[in-house]
Amino acid sequence: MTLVSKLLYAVSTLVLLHSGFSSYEFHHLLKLKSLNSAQTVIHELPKDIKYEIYVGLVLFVLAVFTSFEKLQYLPIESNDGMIISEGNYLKEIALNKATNVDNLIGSNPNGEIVFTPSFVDVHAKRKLSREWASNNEKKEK
Amino acid sequence: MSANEEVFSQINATVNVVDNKKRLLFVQDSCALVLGLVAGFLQIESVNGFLWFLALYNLTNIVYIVWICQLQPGKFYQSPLQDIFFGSFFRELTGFVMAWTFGYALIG
Repeated sequence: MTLVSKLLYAVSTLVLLHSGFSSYEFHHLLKLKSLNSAQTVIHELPKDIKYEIYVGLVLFVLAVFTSFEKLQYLPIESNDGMIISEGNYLKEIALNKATNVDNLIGSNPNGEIVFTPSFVDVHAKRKLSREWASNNEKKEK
Repeated sequence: MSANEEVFSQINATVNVVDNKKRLLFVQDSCALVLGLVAGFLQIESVNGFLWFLALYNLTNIVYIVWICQLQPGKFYQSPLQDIFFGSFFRELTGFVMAWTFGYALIG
């Protein structure tokens, strides 16, 4: 949620509360007046209260919409801190597009299964690391 | 495009579909409740209240399509018209009526 959105939420809540109380007061006075005199001139809510309610509503809707931020991703393996963004507020649903983000940030969507110790081929990994180590030893010598 | 590629391009990522629907529901839920509250504050009665809801609920959805979907709702929803306008219509209508009666009783 952005700072603008938080501010708008706070302001719109205050405006709506104030306008609600103003409307309550007006209707309360109207009831008292109608009890005392048979003729009541005002029936409608005064314009300033109406406008305040409208402003509160618009600010609230704006707060909801500004709470959306463009989606950003931090690649898992890169260290330069470059953030990737496709410029969308929502995630694309087509699988061939949805996997783009996983590829860009280097995330494996099947990682839960692929990296589970029981499923990892330990012997292949050991062989790989032994080869790497022996190659490095040769180079050092 | 081969037949396989065509079939593959029609597959959707379920996680993203659900995530986008949740975001839309948050917008619709909060807007419907505040619309109801405001209708109560304005002491709107009878069919005018439902017209108020219909007009502003659809306006909010249009703003959602323009602002959040960037005029490409098809990229984010399987069937945009159904998902955005009709999918949760009765859910929002009941929420609106609840907030409307609450606001009306509070003020009146």
